[in-house]
Amino acid sequence: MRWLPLGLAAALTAIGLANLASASMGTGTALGVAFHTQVVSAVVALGAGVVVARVPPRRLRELAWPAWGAGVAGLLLVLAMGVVGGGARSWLVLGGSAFQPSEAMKLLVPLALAAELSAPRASRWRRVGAVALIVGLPVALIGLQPDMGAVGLVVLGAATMVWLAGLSWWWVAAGAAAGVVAAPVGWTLLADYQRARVLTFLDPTTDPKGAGYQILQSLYAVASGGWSGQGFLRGTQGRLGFLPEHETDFILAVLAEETGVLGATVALGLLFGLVGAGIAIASRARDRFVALLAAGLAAQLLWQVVVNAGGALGLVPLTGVTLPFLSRGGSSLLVAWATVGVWLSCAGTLDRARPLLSRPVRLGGVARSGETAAARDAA
Amino acid sequence: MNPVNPIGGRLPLLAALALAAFAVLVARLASLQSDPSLPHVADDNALRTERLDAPRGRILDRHGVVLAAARPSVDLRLLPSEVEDPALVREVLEPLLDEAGRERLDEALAATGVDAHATRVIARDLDLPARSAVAARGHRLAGLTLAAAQLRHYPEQARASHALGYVSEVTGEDLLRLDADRYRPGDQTGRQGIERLLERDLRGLPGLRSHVVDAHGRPVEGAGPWFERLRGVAASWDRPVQGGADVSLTLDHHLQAVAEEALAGRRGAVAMIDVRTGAVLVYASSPDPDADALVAGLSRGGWQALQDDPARPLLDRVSRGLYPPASTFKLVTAAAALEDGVSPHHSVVCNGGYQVGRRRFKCWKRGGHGRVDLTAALAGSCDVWFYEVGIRLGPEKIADAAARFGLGSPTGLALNGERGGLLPSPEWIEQRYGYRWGAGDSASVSIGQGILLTTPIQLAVMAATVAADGERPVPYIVEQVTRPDGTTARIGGLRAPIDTGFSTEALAAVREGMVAVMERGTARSQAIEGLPTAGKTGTAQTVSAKLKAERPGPETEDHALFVAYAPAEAPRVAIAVVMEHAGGGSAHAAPIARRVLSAWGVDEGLIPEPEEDVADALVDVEVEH
Repeated sequence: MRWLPLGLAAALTAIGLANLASASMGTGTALGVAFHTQVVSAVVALGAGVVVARVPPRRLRELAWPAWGAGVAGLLLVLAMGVVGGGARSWLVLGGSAFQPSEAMKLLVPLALAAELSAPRASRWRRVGAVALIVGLPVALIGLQPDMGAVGLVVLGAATMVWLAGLSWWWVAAGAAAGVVAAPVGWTLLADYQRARVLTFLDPTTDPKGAGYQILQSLYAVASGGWSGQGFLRGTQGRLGFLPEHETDFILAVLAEETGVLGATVALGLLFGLVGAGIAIASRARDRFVALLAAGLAAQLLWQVVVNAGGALGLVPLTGVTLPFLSRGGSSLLVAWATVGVWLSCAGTLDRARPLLSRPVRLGGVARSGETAAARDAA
Repeated sequence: MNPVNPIGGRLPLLAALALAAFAVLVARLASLQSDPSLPHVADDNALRTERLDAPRGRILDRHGVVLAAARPSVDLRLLPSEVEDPALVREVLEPLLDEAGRERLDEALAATGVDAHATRVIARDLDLPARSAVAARGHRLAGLTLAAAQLRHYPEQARASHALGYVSEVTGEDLLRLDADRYRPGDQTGRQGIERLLERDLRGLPGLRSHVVDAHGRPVEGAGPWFERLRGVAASWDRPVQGGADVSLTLDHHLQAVAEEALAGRRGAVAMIDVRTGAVLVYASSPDPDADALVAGLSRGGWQALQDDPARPLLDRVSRGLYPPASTFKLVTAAAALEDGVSPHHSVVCNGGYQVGRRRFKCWKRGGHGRVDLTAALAGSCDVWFYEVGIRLGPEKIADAAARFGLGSPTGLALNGERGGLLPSPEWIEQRYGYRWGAGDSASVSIGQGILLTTPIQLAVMAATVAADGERPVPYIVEQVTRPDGTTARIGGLRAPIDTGFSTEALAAVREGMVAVMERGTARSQAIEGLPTAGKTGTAQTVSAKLKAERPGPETEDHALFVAYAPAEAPRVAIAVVMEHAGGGSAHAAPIARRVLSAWGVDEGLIPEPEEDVADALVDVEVEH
């Protein structure tokens, strides 16, 4: 059970690399640069995941704020000297490798939130202020890039965490009501292309050659795959350019074209399995920080899968977020593996001294990892 | 759930949310498989199917002379939706186009919506200077393309326009009606004549070839399993070109040309058929439209002028022109009388008229023919002999004989919506007009006037039936269809002659009269030296004698008719000539038949090449009335 996240992530990475191998070939037979880069990223990501897994939760908690600060610094650096790609200034280039700090915030915001929400309560307003800072500052900075997909995901993940932390249902209802009221205002704040995306999502056939083109092409590719797919290396829509952004936004459609409903369901099943594993780890945790962190990252992954896969299948508006483990992109893969590492840490998987997952993990002095049940009981 | 979990209360809700999301996504994946039209879109995307035009089959005459062929041409096509600079397109094209082309250009540039996404042919057969002018500025003329195509043309001097028909661009309604696999906008389809009748055979089936393209429509030469798969799909869509079949007609291009030359500038028709088989050798209707001009496309004004032309060039007079048979009908009355027991030696004294009740029916010859038997009555076209026997026969027997000769109903040629005509029927007349049939009506009908309308092709069949001893041929014009693979199909000439039941003796007597017409009768000046022919003249009154006298002119002038067969002793061909408002049959129709029959005689080696112009025979004509 405690190895489950690792197994699922490894399977997903393998599927992702194979799928990307096919996509990267384009119209030829040679593996593309995108694949080679991804292999290197996968090795790095796996290493990062193992490193994170060895960091005990207590250290993670101590590192939460500094890491968050580093992430925010990264976002500031991006705005100052970032590289533009895909219409947004999102990349930091350091010594030949590029990284998206906004990706990291999908891990660092939940981490900081988990630390804040599990800390002893000072006052209600200080708590609100801290949460607003943790979420609001990165969101504002990412919004300036602009990468609205990442903004949405960070906000969704954070909101889910606040809800998991026990936010009153009254507040949930009030938030929903505020959303309804704010929607028309938000609509006027959207850029034209963003509005087009929403309208297109509502009915892709209204403009099949324009804004609706991408969604329709994705649906055609999925339909072309049928139940069992055209076969590995036999998909056409991505490599011939009918499916735009086929290595990132629409990687699920590429997978579905070649491996069918079956293959896509297996990949989605593995991703949702990871979500479930994260929830399971959270449910077995005794510590509020660990529980919030594991569950928050599960929610973060859940939202990202829903937004990407839902977009590719025409269920939600397109936002340009990646599908973890499957989309091309080192930052995405690195953050996904780091998330797995956090779960392994929370589950104590690599902690030889603490073989049982159900052991309580108390932080802050009372119970420590490695203490036996008897010792805890005695305390 | 562990009861001591710090956030235990809401985790199951999160798990449920995840499970629901997973279920929705998988359901969506599955539901996309239920639309049977979707899976093919991906392959439709990646494969562009090109149509390979099938060369249209040729139309040949009986000797293999090409009457209609396809020749390569360059078409100017325009896709309105891609035009960026309409003003420039107009500026470059307008000097190059004729009026019809400018109309098509205006229409194309004004197209909106779906119409703007259909490629149109603006001009066919662009000449080299025009091509250069377009090509030179091609990079600035988005939406315009020069495309290799084929153009129908009719190379022979013999046009046979009404028999051959023409082709023109398919209209929107045509496309709804026609097989979408074979036609697309800009294609041409057969109109009228053989071009329409045998459109399917002539057109063939366009080929299809598909190749892999990327999202920008550029051809892709790829490699790998995906490419092999697409190529397999493409191959399964491929279809070889099936060229159109060649159609061989029974027409003789030389005789056709002679007939057309004789008709030139006048209104009339010539039909000549083989008396035994019904094969149509000449099918000429004048005036006729220029088929090549119709293929190139007329302007709206040009088309309107053609339709409004009082000479009615679009009317196929051979199959659809309705004329009183006039005195040529005396062959029918004679045969009916002989069958009814009247002796060929039955004689009547003609003193220039015949009294029916209180009304006197005149013979065309004021002074009278004197005592005439059947032969003399046919030779001199004496009306009185026919009044006398016609009144005795009555309308039913005359109509019955006429029907057996093939008059009053389509002959079976099946070209251009052949018309039937009208035979006397007292019941029908009474029902329609409340008018009782009288002896005077029988008298009129017996000389081919009155309630009686026929077509030239019917008259040719009538003459052939007399010549063939009562075996009525079914005329046909398509000899065979030869497909590109060499297989042939016989389409016409499959129907055996119809036995009309007239006795040999009766028809022999009629033929004797027809020979007398040429030897000493109304058409004696039209005899052909060395080629004995047998004929019968006719002059059809088109208005009352009173009106004709009051308003002389082309509108009130008589129709000239002539039917004949040759050679007289062993008939092989029969001919009918009808000249509208031309005057007497002997002077205005018989000479045309003489020219065509002379040409036939020369071609068959029956008579030597004439030294003097056959048109000289117009002298010394006794005008029959």
